[in-house]
This record gives sequence, structure tokens and C-alpha cells, in this order.
Amino acid sequence: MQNDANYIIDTLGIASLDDDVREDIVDEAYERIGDAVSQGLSDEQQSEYQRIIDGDQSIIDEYLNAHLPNYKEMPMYKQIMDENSDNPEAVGADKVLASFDWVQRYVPDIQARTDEALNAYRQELLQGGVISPAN
Amino acid sequence: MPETGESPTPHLSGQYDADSQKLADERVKLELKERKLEQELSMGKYDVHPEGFTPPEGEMTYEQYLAQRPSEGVVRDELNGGYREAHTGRYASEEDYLAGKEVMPDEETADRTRLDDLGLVALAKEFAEAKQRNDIADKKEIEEAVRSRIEKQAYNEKSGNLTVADVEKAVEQEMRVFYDRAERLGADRSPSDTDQSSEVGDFVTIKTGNGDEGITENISEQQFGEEFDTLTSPFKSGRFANKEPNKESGVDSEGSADETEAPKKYTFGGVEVEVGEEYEAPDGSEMVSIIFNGDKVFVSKKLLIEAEAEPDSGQEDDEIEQEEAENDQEDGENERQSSWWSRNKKFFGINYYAAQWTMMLQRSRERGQITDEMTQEEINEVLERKRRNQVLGMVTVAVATGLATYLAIKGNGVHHDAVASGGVTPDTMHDVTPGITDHLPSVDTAGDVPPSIDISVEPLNPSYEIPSGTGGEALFQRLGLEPRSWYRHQDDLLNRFPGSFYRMDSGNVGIAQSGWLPNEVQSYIESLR
Repeated sequence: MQNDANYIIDTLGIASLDDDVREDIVDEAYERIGDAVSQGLSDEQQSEYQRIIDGDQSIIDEYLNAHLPNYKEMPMYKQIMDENSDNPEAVGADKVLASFDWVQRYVPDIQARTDEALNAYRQELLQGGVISPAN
Repeated sequence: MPETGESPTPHLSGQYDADSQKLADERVKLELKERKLEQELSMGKYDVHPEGFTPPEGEMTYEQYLAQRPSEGVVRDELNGGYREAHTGRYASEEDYLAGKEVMPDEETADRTRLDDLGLVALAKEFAEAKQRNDIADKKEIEEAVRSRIEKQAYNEKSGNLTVADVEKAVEQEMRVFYDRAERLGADRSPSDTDQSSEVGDFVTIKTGNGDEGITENISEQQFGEEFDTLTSPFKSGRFANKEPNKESGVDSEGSADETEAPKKYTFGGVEVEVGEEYEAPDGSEMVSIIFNGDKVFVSKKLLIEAEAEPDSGQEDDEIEQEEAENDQEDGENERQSSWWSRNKKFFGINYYAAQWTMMLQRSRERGQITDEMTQEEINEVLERKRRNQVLGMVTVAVATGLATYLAIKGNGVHHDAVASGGVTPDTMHDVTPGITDHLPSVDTAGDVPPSIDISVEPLNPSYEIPSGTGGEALFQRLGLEPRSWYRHQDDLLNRFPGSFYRMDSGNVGIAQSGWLPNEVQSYIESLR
């Protein structure tokens, strides 16, 4: 099991690139994967996710109460709350939790779509000469 | 007696050769003068106009032509060839003098020289015209000439603290500016404009890069105002000036303007930025260039908020830079010590949204997702979609690689069908759950795991610390669950966690040992609520 960024780096074969370039590519990969998985979502679903990550508290509360009524007892929530206690600028635990749960609930074929998007991106990087087949 | 017969051809003296050459030269001069007279005649030099005469639209009198002709710099002599100093009329160099004597220059040589000698504005015009003609070969040739020139300038002026990648990135940036300008020139051009500019514009084409002393900036660029200042000195201002400690190399006529007028300060996404040139996009919206994160990018003026004017001084800049460096260092420390979701909070925070706006805008333009024809509202929609997809992708990968699934399972035991249908199957979840710490991902990309990454879960409830002799029914009672419901779940618990439970002689299931129940057992029981 790998870290998310390492998973992308390994799959694309970009470990040997400069940090800045690698970071740009990873960000781009996230966007492409998001684009790929959003293809299976309705406009309403995309709108709901947008509102969650935009911090629309009414939607976040509504979502959590509907799907994770005991979310305040969840370890993930508690740990984020603990970490946030001394950081007033931290992202709300409820928002993070809702966004994660939402993806697990609604995004279909997570692994297949992720790999498909990454493989397509790798082909582009190969064709563009950014990486070599040996990578 | 002299022999009779055919007389031999008389031998011509050397004087004849000399006279013949002189005659040929005079004929060439005559031809040149005739051409000059014809051209002057066609340009209206000998026209006599009544006082107050106004030429038809799109035309000009010879006097007007002379008046608009640049008074300094080097101009191409259309009549005689070569280049002359506009003010004195002298040839700019011996080469130009010789070029001026060429009656019919070789066409290929002339074309190569033409591109080499064109200024960037003229090249942009040429590019726009080639595009209108759909002349792919011409476009490519111009493109290469521009890229070559910008690259040469970039490498000549790059300072020690810039990498080759920096320079290449800057060159690409300047190429985009060039394309943008060419696009605008093409869009602004009416047929009559085209005719006029080909006649006048070519004449005012400037010689550059020939090593001649005193050759100044492209005069055509003056005609176009300031909009091309990034091209005339792409590495003296903007991104390079932002990084270069010594800006003296960039001091020129533009630099003097900087001294007299402090640049206006604006904030963009909460970050103070310096605004460069402004222009109007084809859709009528006002665009400006800003330096953002060291990059020169174009944004809608609406996105900028004017900041309070503050006295500008080098010392203050130094203090700001030092403060930023300290903040960066502090951020770096925090970054290393934060956990996964804290490290990725940038994807969720509104500050990230604002800070990434320009970057997104730039990348979207590069990928053709945003065009000049789009309204600001449409651009915003694209950027919002990109941001949403980026978060979606980040969370998706986290789920796909098991982290978020693990966290969710530990939390409430929820097993979504969507997860099961993807790469994280019930089997893999079982794999994750028992040896949980072994499967925790290394968070840091570079491999240095933050010391505070341990996300081992604290017991949810002290009641999970089992005193010796506690039975299942009593456990459920301690946890606030219906005690009798234990018997509905006992077999399931034994099957799942054979190390924590055992079958008693009575047939019921008991708790194997006193002390804290393992986290996965706690999580599972919590999911039964």
C-alpha cells in the first residue's frame, strides 16, 4: 500500500525529475484523475461536492447527518479536531470527513479510473519526452 | 612588302575596358535614379497640393509620411536598400552601404535577412499576416526566428541564480506573450490597415542585433505603445527582474519611467502583486499582467483589489523578503510535522483557491481550456471545475491507495459499495485492518516521514478496557448497548477476531483476555450502534 503522491510518482515514473516539476505533474495528475472520476457523476453530485469543498456548512451538516450521524465519534474526526485545536486556520474536520466519505460513496470504479487516467498521462509524458520508457 | 589579306582584330587598349566599366556603372546609377524617381513619384513626393489638402482615408501625403517617419534609430532604405540612421541619413554600417548598392539582391538572402532584421513587433505582424494567409511554412519560420531571438536574449541575460529550466520556462512565457500579441494584431487588422502597414510598416522596420553601435530599440514598438515592452526587453522586467538581485542591467528608457512613478500595488487572492501592462481583451474585458509567484501572468483586472499606497524602498523589500523567507521556513516546519490531511489542507482551503487561481488560469490557457473569447464568468467556471477536480482527484487517490478507506473503516465500519466496486475490495480492507500500522502510507513524498504521522487511534471509550472476568453481555452494557444484543453478534465477533474472543463450554462467546480491546474490534463494535 502506498502513499497517494508516491503512488502517482511511481505509476508515472517521475521519481527522478526535479522536485518542482514533479510537484507540478502530481498536481496535474490529481486534476486529471478528478476529471476522470467526475465523468461518472451527475451535475447535482458535482455541485454537491463543490459546495462541500467550498465549505458550505449547511451542505456539510446535511451530508454528515444523513450519512454519518455519529461522525463526531469517529477517530478520524477526533484526530483532525485534535490537530486543529491549536491551528485556527486549519480546515474543518467536518469538511474533510464529508469530502472523503462523499468520494467513497459516490465515485465509481475508483482504482480503474485512477489507473486509466494515470496511464494516459504517462503516455503523454513519454511522447513529450518528459520521461523515458526506462522510468 | 607587307602581307595582304584579312586584317587582324585591332587590339583594344585598357582604356576601353575602363570606359566600358564606367559606362556600365553610370547605367546602373541611371537605373537606380530612375527607380528612385519613380518611387518618389508614386509616393507623392512631387505632388503639389492646395493648402489645407486632406488625403483620402488610408492615404497620406509625402509630407505626412516624412513627418511620421522616425527621427532616430535605424530604418530600412526602401529606395536604395540597406539601412540608414534616420536622423543623419548615413548608412548604418559598411554592410548596409554595400547592401544599398545591390540592385537585385538574392531573394533567399533577402528573405533570411528580412526575418533576422525584423523587430519583435514586426515579427508579430508578420506572424499575424501569415496566419491570415494560412501560410504554415511562413508561420513556422517566423516562430523559429522569434524563439531563437528570445532564447538568445534569455541565455545572455540569465543570472547565476536561475536554472536552465527557469530560463526555458521564461522563454515559453515570452512566446505566449508573442502569440497573444500576434493574435491581437491579427484581430485588430482591417484590410486597409494591412495595406497601409505593409507599405509603411516595412519601411520602418528596424535592424537589430547586428552589433552596430547606436542601433536603438525597434521604432515600430514605439508606435504600438508600451504593449510590447515585455518583448523588447523580456528579461529586464517581469519575472527575471523579480529574481535578479541586480536590476541595473535592465535599466533603459523604461527604467527611467519606473524611477519617476512608483508602480501601483494590488492584491490578488490576498497576495500583494505588482501590476504591469494593461490591455483590452477581444471580449472587451480589461486584462493586466502581474508578477505572481515569480511568474508573469495575465489576469482579469476585476480580480485585483487596489492596496493602500505605501512608500516603497529597497530596505522594505528586504524586510518583506526576509519575513517571507521566515514564513516559508515556518511553513516548511509545519508542513513536515503535519499529518496527511493537514498537509493536504491546501486543497480545501480558500487561500489555496485564491493562490492557485493564477496558476490554474495560466495552465488552462496553455491547454486551450481558456480562450480570450471567454467571459470572466466562463473563465471562473473553468477554474472552479479544475479546482473541484483537483480535490476530487486527490481524495480519490487517497481512497484508492487505502488511506481514507482505512480511516473510514476504523471510524465507523462503513463499507460503501462504491469502494468495494473499486480497487479497495472487502478483501483488501481485511488486509488493511489487522496490521494497520504496517499499511500506513509514508506521507511525505520525499520519503521523510513526519514524526507526528502516527495516526493510531485512541480508544473511543474507556469501557473498552476490559476488567478480568468481564463477559460479552456486561461489555455491551458498559458500552451503552443493549446487553442482550451481544448474543446476536457474538458469533460474528468470534469469526472476525478469533484472537480476541473464544468459544466457551456453554457455547457462547467470551472475551479472550482482559485489558484494552484491539482498535479494530472497537471500531467494529462501534459500527454496530
